Amino acid sequence: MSLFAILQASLTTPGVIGLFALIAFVAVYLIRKKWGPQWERLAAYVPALNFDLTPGTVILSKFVQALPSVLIAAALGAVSSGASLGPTLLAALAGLLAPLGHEFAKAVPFIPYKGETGEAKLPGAPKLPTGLMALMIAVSMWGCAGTQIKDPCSAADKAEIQREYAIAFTEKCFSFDSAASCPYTNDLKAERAKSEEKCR
Amino acid sequence: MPLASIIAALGPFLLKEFESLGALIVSSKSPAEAIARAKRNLEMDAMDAATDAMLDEALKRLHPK
Repeated sequence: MSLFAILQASLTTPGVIGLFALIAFVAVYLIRKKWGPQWERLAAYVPALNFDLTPGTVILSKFVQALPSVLIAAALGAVSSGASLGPTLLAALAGLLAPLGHEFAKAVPFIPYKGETGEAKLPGAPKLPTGLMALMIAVSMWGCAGTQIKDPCSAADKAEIQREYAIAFTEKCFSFDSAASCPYTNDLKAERAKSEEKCR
Repeated sequence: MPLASIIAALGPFLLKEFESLGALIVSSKSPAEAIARAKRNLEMDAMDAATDAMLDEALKRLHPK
């Protein structure tokens, strides 16, 4: 029984895909951090695809960027399954999830991960003393302590939206025997959804 | 059930849900804001559903079969 089959039996197929995607992500992350300048030089060999931003070129460029993680995951799949085709292809697909996670983590403002490659270390770069840094963090947290997230819509605003919808619905649909048979229902719901945008 | 048919059946639904959840998370400035907005959306959806059910019931009572 191959390692892949054991993993699949204990983690199920989605679990194995997740595991391989995670390993590929961590591997690419560590390589980019450790050998950032070399990674960038290697990436520069890839033909420049950023001459225009049509969806085709963006997809192609992302595909090229995803290749390392796909190859890493596919290699893992091949090694753990004794070079079976199915697990290798499945692992390659899992590798595609790694750049997806990378893009998602980059896009979320409150995740500190920004996906940069490691930079060459400059000699003698000044470091902030730990005590001063702790003080700065404490001061910034003090400033955030009173921050509360306010609901942009009051209960009265929400009730008003429903009231307007109910009136419009009654006016247009009273002659029909159900909401589903009223041809205006979808338009009225779309209008209500538009009014609700500020509350969401 | 083969994986392909599961993906075909659930794919569009999951994509739509992930898309809206992703948009909500990406456009929020903090986890607290994302959670608060998700909670508000659920409340608004529940309120919409309650209004829809009430109006539908009213039409059915108005036009008994």
